[in-house]
Amino acid sequence: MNKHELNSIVEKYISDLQYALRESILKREIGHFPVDSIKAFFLLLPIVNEKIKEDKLRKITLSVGAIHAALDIHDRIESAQATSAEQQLTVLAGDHFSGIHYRILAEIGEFGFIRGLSQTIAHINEQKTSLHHERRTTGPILLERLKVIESGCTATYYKTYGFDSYLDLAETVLTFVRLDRMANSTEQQAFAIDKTIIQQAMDLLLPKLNLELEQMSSLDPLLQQVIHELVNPLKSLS
Amino acid sequence: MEKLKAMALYTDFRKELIYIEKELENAVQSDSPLIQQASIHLLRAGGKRIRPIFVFLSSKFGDYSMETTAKVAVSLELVHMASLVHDDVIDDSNMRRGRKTVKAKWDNRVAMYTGDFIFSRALTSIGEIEMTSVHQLLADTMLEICKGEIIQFDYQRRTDQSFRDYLRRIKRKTALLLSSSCELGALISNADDEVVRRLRNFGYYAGMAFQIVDDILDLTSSDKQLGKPAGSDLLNGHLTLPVLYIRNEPSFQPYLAKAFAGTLSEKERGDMLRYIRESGAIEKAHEVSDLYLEKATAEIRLLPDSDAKKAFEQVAEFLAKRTF
Repeated sequence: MNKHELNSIVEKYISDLQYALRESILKREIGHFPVDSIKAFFLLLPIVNEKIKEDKLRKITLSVGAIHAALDIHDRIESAQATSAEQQLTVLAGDHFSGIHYRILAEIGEFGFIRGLSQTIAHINEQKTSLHHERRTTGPILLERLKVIESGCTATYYKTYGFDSYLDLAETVLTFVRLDRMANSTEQQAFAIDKTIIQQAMDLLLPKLNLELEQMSSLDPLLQQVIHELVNPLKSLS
Repeated sequence: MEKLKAMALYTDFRKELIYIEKELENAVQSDSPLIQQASIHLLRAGGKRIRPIFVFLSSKFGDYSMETTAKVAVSLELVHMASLVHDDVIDDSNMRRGRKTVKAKWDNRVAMYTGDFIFSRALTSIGEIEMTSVHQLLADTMLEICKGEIIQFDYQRRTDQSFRDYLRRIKRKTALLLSSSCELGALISNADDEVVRRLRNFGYYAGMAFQIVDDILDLTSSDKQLGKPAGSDLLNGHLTLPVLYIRNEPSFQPYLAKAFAGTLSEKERGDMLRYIRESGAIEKAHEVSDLYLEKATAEIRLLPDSDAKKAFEQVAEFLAKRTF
């Protein structure tokens, strides 16, 4: 596999996900919603690495992508004032995406995964509420909460379908990427966290990240390269 | 008084109702004190528990199991609750059933996360039922309800709606979930196909009647009875059946314009409500609701005689004739 083929796989997944989530009024009013390509990459990682061509797994990854989209878009709701048309439809967009995730799993009868994923979704919302509401947090607590928020659904997917060996890598990279966004992005962030706490969390995670990057030998070299290319610029910024 | 009447209707199913309340409380247990508080706040606000009751009554037409039925009943009530928390964010509502909404007591974001949490608990509960047909039906229903809300948004503050538009909206808003409550109850107890069909239809017709009455009550009840300002639907830009009858009357149009623009004074709100109540539109809307009620009872009439059938007839009558 070359990089072009890998990009095509990820792009096809993103396009399939956007197609699954399409809704004409939402599209007209709030436009195309962004799919987190890094989360998408990690959802596809085991399938790509192990060259699995199973339609059921493809549907399951779409379902996880749908719930990622649902949970992410609800972070855009303003705490105090959500009366604009765009905000009102953002609430409904998240609910719609959430319904799509369930319908995909219902159609293929993945009852165990419905149960497992629902418990993870509950846990993610608990962590988000705490992060949103607590006045003060610490680096370790922030790290723990973001790990659940960023990689909880992917982790449940890995554990359910026997991809546990990818778990630590995905959790670490996804959490680090989120911390980097919180520290460096100019876009408005979902949670108001002090920059020193974010830096503290990044410092705490960095040794684990380095370790995970050293232990990627079971991955296809191209996948290793992509992960290095993703993470190295962030490491240098941190 | 009316509430007592409702409880009396449910007397035969008191055991199931108590079980459901306990299971609902268990379902919203959370490691986050705030989510738990917000969820319990919602649960304690009450509600008629129509959906769980419909699931229970329908499941009595087949091989009934209280534990299995409760999983579906809890799930449906949680789906309903989750949608209410999010609706209050959309409508910027501060009061519901006489209590502060989650968004008013905490904030919009807490309401969003609480709604998503409750929705996930609904799936945990129904996830125990390993029947594809059950999950497909619930998933389709949830998507249709959401679609209905998106369409309702599109129609917000528009006066060029037809009666059919309104009926389509309330079908998605209310009738579908009641119809699915009946169908799911029948499905999990392996009731006959014909019984499943009749119960599904019953839920749909009863749901239509119920929502029309709900829309009437929004215009005829007091703020205190409603636990929110009377006329809230109009203030939020939603045209309901009684208003559809009079929307083109020249003396009513200024009220409508101001209600939709958010510039209606308190006095004008009172005058507008009085106008509607004296216009004859309420009676016309009641006639439509009665038609749906007749259709609902016709479906039930052909089911085998049982306590559940009797209870369904009473509940339907009560829901359509209620005054709160």
